Amino acid sequence: MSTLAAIAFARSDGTQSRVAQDDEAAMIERAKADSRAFGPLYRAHYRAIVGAIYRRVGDGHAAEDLAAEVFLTAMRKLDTFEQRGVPLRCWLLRIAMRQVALWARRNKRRATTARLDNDRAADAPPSDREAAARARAALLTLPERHQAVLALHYLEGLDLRQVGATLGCGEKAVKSRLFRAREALRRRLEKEPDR
Amino acid sequence: MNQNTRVDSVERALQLLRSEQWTGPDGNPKIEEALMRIASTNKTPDRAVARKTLYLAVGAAFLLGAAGASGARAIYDYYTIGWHSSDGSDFAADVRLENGQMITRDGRSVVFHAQEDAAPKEAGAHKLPDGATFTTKGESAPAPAPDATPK
Repeated sequence: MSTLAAIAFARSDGTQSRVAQDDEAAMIERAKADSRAFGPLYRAHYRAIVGAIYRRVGDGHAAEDLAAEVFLTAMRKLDTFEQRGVPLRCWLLRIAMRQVALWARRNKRRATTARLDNDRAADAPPSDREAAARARAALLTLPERHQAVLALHYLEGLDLRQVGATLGCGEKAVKSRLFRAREALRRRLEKEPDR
Repeated sequence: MNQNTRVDSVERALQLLRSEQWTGPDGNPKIEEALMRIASTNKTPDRAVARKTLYLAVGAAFLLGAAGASGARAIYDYYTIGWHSSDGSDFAADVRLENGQMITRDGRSVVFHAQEDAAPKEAGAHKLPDGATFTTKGESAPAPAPDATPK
């Protein structure tokens, strides 16, 4: 199985087989030594990253712009990435979450309006599309730490350990943060003032 | 409002967002091309230029489509400079600053040599209107005119 194929078969819940991890580790080392070797990493993770961003911003064009930023940042800072059991995807997701939060801050009005991306969600029932847009707007108004923990765990399927490794905290802290974040999201959805 | 209703509203919101799938392509060749271009450059002019390069790549992919879209190019600020040669000729050229060198639009580097009888102020650091600086060599040089040699 080729390197790319091994990574493509990585499970959607964020875990990877040992073979794929070893292959990726070698690719990362090559890219650290020579940025021109970053291409395979980009191709292996692009879909996961742009998908994660799209779920957050609901706009395909903005998602591609932000994904470009994420990979540019990753390529520039790859030498700071340390392979200690945290998959590269988690590291990329952390950069993506940061980019989304910055985007939401820059585009406050757009981000917090229940925007519909009609081209890409046309096959969903109107009520679901509107509800998704409202949910997205509510999530984007939460503090950045709450957005990140909810998105990584519930939208991207990372387990508590991976979320902790991604955000630099322990599992207990993740649990606690998840509880508070869910409560904050509930208040937003019910249009209650944040406490 | 009971607890079940509260949980349901959050669960439903997260479920809806989770179900939103990216339906675009698995990769954007323009972005990858721009990344590789940046990677191939020993020293990228600055982050803003790199970002412009990537946005240009994304914009080109969307607006022009794959066919006919020209490759992404870095965007530079060009300055028009002029000089007076010792033989009486006047010259002008558009240059960009890259790694401390002045580069013309066709990729040639421009090097100024101070004349032996040049005033001291003609050598050293010079400031362009927007604050960017460049330096001219202070040593004496045989060629009185600017020397534009292929890079």
